[in-house]
Amino acid sequence: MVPILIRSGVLLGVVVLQTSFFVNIFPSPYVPLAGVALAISWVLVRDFHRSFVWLIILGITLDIVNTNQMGVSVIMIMLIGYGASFLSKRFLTTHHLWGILSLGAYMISASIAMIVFDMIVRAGIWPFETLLGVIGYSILNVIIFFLVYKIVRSTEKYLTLFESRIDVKRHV
Amino acid sequence: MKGFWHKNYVRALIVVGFGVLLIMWNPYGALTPLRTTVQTIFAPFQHIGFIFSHGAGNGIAFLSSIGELKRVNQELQSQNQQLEAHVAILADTQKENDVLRAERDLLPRNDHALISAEIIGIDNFGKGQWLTINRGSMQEVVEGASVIVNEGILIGTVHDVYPRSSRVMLLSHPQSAINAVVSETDTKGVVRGNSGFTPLFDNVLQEDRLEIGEKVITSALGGAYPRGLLLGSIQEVFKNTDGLTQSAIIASPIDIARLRFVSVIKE
Repeated sequence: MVPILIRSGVLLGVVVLQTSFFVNIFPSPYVPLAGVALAISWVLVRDFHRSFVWLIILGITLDIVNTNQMGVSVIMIMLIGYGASFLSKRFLTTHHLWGILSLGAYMISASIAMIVFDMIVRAGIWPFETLLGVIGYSILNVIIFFLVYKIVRSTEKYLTLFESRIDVKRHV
Repeated sequence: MKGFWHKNYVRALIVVGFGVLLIMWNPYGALTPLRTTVQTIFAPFQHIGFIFSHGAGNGIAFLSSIGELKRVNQELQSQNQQLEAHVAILADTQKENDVLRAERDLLPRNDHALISAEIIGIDNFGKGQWLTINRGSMQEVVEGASVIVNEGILIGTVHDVYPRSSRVMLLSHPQSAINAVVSETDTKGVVRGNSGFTPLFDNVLQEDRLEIGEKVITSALGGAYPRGLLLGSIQEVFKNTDGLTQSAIIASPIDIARLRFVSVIKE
């Protein structure tokens, strides 16, 4: 029960951060996608298989809270999660520096893909107006990603410890 | 066979396929209980998030605007003087109007009964096509109600109502269409959303004259909106290729991103 509550809390915090906090500080469509950062972080820390249900919940929640078009975020979060899992197996285990760089690059492309996909599905238009805007948006998303990643890593570390304590109690 | 279904790419593809079905099918009514539950859980947290973000956003906007303050101040002083003159004329017209209405035995214009609401969420994808407000069916908000600011500027319509929150479709949404007139000339048309960009004053006959700066207001045709709510002022006029109609880009006086409070007109 505790792991579900903690992960739900992280999900709630990240979705509120994206839909009710960043929207007043950054102009649309340059609002950093904390939800995408959470999806990638979960897959990196817990792996795709164990994050699968949480990715679906995150996608549905983003669709409901953010827009009225169901399905768009579910598709993108799932593809981004799978892509993160695919990349992490090939880069993160061997080269640390390349791993971090590729993660940053992946976060940038995932966020831009998410915005473009959403705008094309919902309105049939290209969202970004200037190259400078895209660069600024990319930097912003990388910063947000590493912040969310740190939070997810800490909470999952705590949950692993918590679950192992429960296992020891059961065996005793 | 069991292993096949547990492969990551197979599971991802099934969910993606399900997502595509959702987009194509769009089972709006069937998902209402889920939407209501999620919105009810998120509304108080979104409210808190929005209060903090509004403070931070205002601080950033203030810091970045310090250099322009002097110029803006001069412009505002000039506008203020013009508006004072307008107010004097309007007060006189109001008196005249009251006398005429009394002579013709007309009822006074209705003041709107309003429900004050605070914005708790903005659609961050579609260039701001949706708002979430912290008033819902428990506060007598109903679907189709007009959402205004400053007691007379229409910004959108209530589209979905949850117990403690509601979703507002903004004028810029492609599905938004409102019967409107130019207040100065009574030229008729329809204000339509424009994929998240500024709305268009559309379906205006080419023989009608449209001037930049003229105010476009709701016409009350069809009964969905009360007459006289400001939609914006004409920014740019262009002829349509059909040879019959013309359109105008409407600039709203409201910056949705800086907005915190709105009012919902009670039915």
